[in-house]
Amino acid sequence: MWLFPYVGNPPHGLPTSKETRRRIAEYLNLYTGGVPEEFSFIIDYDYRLTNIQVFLKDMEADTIRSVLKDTKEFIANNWETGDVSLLMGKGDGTFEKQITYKAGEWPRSVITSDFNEDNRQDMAVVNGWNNNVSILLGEGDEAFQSEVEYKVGKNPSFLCSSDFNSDGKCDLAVSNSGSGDISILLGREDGSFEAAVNYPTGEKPRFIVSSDFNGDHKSDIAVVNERSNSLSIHLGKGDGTFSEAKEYETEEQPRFIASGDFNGDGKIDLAVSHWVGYLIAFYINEGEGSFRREEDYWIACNLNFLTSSDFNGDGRMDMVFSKYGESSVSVMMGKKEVGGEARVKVLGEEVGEEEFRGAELEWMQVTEVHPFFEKPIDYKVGMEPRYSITSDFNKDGWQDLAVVNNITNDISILLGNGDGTFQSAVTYEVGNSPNFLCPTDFSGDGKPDIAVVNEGYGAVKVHVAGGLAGVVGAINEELRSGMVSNITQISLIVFLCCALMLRSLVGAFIVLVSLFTRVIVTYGVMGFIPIPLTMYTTPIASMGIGIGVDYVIYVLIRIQEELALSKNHDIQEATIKALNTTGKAVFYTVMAVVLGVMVFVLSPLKFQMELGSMIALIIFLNGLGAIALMAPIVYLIKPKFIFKKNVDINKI
Amino acid sequence: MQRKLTPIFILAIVIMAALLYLAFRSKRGVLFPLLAAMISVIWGLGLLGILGFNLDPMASIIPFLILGIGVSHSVQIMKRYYEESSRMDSARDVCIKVISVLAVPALTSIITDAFAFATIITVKIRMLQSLAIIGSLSLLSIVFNVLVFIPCCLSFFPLPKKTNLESSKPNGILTKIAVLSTERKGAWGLLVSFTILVIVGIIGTSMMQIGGRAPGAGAFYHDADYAVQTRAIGEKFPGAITYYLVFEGREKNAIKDYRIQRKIEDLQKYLKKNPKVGGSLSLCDFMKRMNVVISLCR
Repeated sequence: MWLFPYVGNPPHGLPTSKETRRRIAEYLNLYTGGVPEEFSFIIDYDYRLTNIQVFLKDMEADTIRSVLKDTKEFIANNWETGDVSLLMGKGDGTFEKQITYKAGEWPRSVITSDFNEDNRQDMAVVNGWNNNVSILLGEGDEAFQSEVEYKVGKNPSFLCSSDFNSDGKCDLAVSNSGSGDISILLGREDGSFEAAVNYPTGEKPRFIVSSDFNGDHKSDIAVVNERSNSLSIHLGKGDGTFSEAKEYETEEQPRFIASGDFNGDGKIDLAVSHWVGYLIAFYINEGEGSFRREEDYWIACNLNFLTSSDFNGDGRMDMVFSKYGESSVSVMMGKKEVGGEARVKVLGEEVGEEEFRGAELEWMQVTEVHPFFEKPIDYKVGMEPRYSITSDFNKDGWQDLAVVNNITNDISILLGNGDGTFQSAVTYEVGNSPNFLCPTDFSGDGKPDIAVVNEGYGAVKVHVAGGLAGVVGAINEELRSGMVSNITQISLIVFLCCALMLRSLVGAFIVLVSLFTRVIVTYGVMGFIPIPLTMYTTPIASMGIGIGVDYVIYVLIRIQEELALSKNHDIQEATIKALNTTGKAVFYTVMAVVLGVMVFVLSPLKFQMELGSMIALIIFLNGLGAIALMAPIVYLIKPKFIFKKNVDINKI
Repeated sequence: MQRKLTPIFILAIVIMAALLYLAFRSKRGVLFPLLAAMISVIWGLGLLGILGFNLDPMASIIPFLILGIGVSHSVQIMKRYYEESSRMDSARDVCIKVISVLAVPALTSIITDAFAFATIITVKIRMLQSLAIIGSLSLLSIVFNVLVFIPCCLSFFPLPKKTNLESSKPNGILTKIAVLSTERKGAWGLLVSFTILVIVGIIGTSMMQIGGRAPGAGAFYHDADYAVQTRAIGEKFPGAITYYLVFEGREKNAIKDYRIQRKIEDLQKYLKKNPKVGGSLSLCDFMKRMNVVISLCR
C-alpha cells in the first residue's frame, strides 16, 4: 500500500533527464540506481520514514502550486526546528522565565565553558542536521556574540570538552552518529577552533565523555556506539591526537556513559546504560587504560539516561537513571563499603548467582542487592525524563538535581537535602521537546544557570516532493534554474557573434539592446495572456531570443551599406533607402510568417496553439524592432562602424 | 494527432505562398523561399529519424520554426535579387552581388539562431535536449539552402523584366518611419515608446508563471476529453492523483513519536482546507484505527 510509486522510472514514459531524477531522488534523500531495500516501503522497519499521500482533484499547475504553498506555510509556522533555552538562576533554587536562542536544525546537545578565557561562559551547540557545532561566545548578561559554525562529521549527537593537546585551552570532542567517527576541535586562545580532525569509532557513536583513564595526565575519550554495541576508548597522546580506539563489547544499544570511581580504588570507572540491554554495565578501570566488565546492575527496563554525581558528600559516587515510560528518576547512593554478594530477583523471586547467570531471563531480572550501590529511590518528575545534571542551585552546599522532561516540555528541579534525598520537584517551562541540559553561570553572578537544548521537531525533516505531481515539480525547478542561465548564454553568444561579424562592440551592443527589448516584451506578453513557461514553451522562448536578432542585423548592415554608397553621407537618405529595401523585405516576411504560423491556433493541442502564437509574436516583435528601433538608435548613437567612410562592402 | 497536424502544416504553406505572391508578384518569389525552407525542414525531419528521436508533440513544432526562419532569410535574398536585377544585366553578376552583400548578415543571424537554440541543451530535460540538437542542426542547414541553393537556382533563370519590379517602389509608411527616426524628436519619440513597451513588458514578466503542467493534462485544452475525464476522476475518486509529502527522521522511531504524528495530522487537516485537495492518508489514520481496535478488544 505504501510502496514508493517510482523512483527509477517516472510514469507515462516521461523522459526526464538523469539530473531531474537525481533531484527527485534527492528530495527523498535517495539516490538513483534502483530503490534501496530499506526505502522500498514508505514506512520502513525502524520507523524512520513516513509520508502523507495527498489526493488532488486535478493536476493543474495552480493546484500543485497551492498544495506546495500550504505545506510550506504550515511547516514554516508550525514545525519548530529547535532552539536553546536559558534559565537564569536566582541563587535560591528558583529560576527566571526562559530566554530562547535560535540554534541550527535539530540541536541535540550543548556544553558550556569559557572558550576565549574572558571569564564569561560560552556555549557550544551540536546541530544534527547541519552537521556542525555552533559556538556562541558569551558577553555576560544573557547576551551572545553571533554564532560561529564549525563543520564536523555527519549527524553529530553529543560532545564533551577537555584540553586534549595540553595547551591550557578548551578543546571539544563531538560524536558523529551518521558518519561513525568523533571530531576533535582544538581550541585557540580567542575562542575560535581549528578545523575538525576525525577519528573513526564504532557505528552510530552516541554519548561521549572525556577523562584521564590511564593515569598519564592526558585527556582520553570514551564513547558508546549504539549500532555496533560497543564502548570505544580513545587514549589521548597529549598533543591533540589519539591512538587507535580500544573496543569493549556492551549489551544491545548502549546509550549513556557515567564516569566516576565506583569501586573505590581511585581510578575512573565507567558505567554504561542500554536502551535494549536492560542493565547498567560497569567497566572497572584496571589502569593502563584497559577495563574489565563486572557487577552488572539489572533493571529490566529500557533506560532513558544515566548520570553520576556525589549527592551526599561522602566521597562515593551516586547514580541517577530513568526508566522508559515512567515519569520519575531513580537515584541510588553509592555504598560506603564496597562489597557483598549481588542478589537478583527474577519475576519477584530472589535467586542465587548461579541460577540467574545461566538463565535466559534477562528482561525479568532485577538487581536486589549490588556491591556498589544501595537500593534506588524514585522521585517524581515530568514525562519522559531525558537527562539530568547536578549543581548546587540554592547555594546550600548540597548538590541538587535538574531533570529535563521531553514530553512535558519542562525541567524539574529537585533540591538536595544533603543526605542523598531530595525535595519534591519544581518545574520550569522550556521549549519544544527538550532533550539535554547543562549547568552554567552565564551571568557570572555565582548563581548557577541552566542551558537546555530543545530539539523541536527538528529530528524529522519534511520533503515536499514525490508522486506524479512531484515529477512535475522537479521539472519546473529544472526549468526555473535553466531559464536564467539560458538567457545569459544566448546573450553572450549573440554578442560575440555580432561583435565578430560586424567588427564592432557598439554594433553588438545595439543588437543586444534590441534583443533584451524583445525578450522582456515577449515574456511580458506571456505573463499577460498568460502562457506559462513550461517544458513546451521554453525552447520557443529561447529560440525567439535567437531569431529575434535576424532582421535587426539585416537592417543594420543595409544602413551601413547605403550610407557608404550615399554621396553626401546623408543618414536620412540611407535610412530611407534601407527601410524601403531590406525593411520592406522584413515587412513581407513578418506578414508571411506570422499569418502562416497563426494557423496553429487551429491545433487540437492547447500547447501547440500557445507555441504558434508565441512564434508569431516573436517574429512580429523582431520585425517591429528592425523597422522602428534600429534606425533611431543608429541616428542617436552614430556608431563608428556604420559611419566610417568608404566601407568596402565586398570585403568579406 | 499527426493526422491533424499535416493539414495545418499544408495550410500554413498555402498562406505563406499567397502572401509571398502578394509581395513579389512572381512565381520564383513564391517558389524559391518555400523550396529552400522546405529542404531544411526535410533535412531536420530526416535527422530526427536517423538519430532515432520521436516526432513527439514537442518535436512537431520544429518544422514550423524552420519553415518560418527559412522563409525569412529567403525573402531577404529574393528581395535583394530583384533590387540588383534592376541595376545589372547578367544573372551571374546579380547572384554574386547578392551573396557577397548578404553573406555577413545571413551568416551572423543564422549562426546566432543555431547557437541560441543549442543552448537549450543546458536545460537538463532529455526531450528538450534532443530538440536542441535537431533544431540547431537544421537551422545551420538554412545557411546552405539560402546562401548557396537559392542564388544557384536563380543564376539559371533569365533576369526578371525591369517593369515587373513592383516591390522596389518606395513605400509611404516605411519612408515616414525612416524620416521620423533620423530626426532628433522623432528618434527620441520612437525610443521612448519602446521604453514604455519594455516597462509594460517587465510588469508582464513579473506575472509570468513558471511551469506547473502535469505530464499530459495541461497540454490539452480545459475542455478536451482527457482533461475533463482526469478532472472528473480526481473529483469523484480522490486517490487517482497523489502527491507525496515525505517525513524523514534521523533517529530510529523518530516519526513514531506521538508529537510528530500529531503534527502530521495537523498538516493533513490544514491541507484539507484547500478546495483542490480531496483527502489524504498517513500513518496517523491507521494508528488511530489501530488504537480504537486495540482499546475495544481490551
